[in-house]
Amino acid sequence: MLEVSPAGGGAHVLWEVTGECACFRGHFEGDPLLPGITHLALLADAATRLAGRARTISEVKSLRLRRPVRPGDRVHGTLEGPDADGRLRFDLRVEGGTAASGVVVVVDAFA
Amino acid sequence: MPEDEAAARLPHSPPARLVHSLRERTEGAVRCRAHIPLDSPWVRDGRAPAFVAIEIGAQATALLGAGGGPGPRAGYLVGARDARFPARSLPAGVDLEVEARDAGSAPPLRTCAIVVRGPDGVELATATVSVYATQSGG
Repeated sequence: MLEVSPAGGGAHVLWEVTGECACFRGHFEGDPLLPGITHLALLADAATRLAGRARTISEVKSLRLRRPVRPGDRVHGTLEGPDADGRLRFDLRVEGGTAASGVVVVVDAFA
Repeated sequence: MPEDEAAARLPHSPPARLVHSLRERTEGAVRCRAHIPLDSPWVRDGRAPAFVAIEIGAQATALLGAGGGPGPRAGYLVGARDARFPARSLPAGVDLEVEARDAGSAPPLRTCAIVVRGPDGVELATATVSVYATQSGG
């Protein structure tokens, strides 16, 4: 369950990662590792909730994956934006430090 | 590289495996057949978010680096940049094509410019992805 709390010009997010997440299927057998693109799905979901309408990612300016995320981890972080150009900066952390950071551009999903 | 061999080189299993066979290998590049399964967790109403192209590109990049040695090699997506998605979503259940071209690798880190095309050859996504490959099976 993803929690999104508006804060300033962005938001705080919290996601308790469980082994039931379908994203772990086949990634990898006996060694579940969250696919890196799951962070992008989290951002699109958070942007949708913040805007109150369906949002999607049209560009990934940068994405850096620094730490693996596994079942039982707690992902929390900050979002800054989106600004007038749709740029959303993010820093998602797990115990020990940043798991993923970068900048994406979000747009209306059905524009 | 036939489909079975391509599958053996990637540690992903269905529905996470998105690259299924290598169509062509040239100096510093591969061209592969990709396919997003309809039962993929990313698929809704027959389509997946365009950012799934980054995972497709990462798997193709891993195949480019899977030269010798038996068994799968773990490859971890560690970064992406300059990803553009002219299509907001990707069709699932159809053959796609992905091309990964070396863009300055320094093993075990491999960086490639990737292009994902639809069945009609239209570009759906472009990006630069970086994958960290282990030296042995994993």
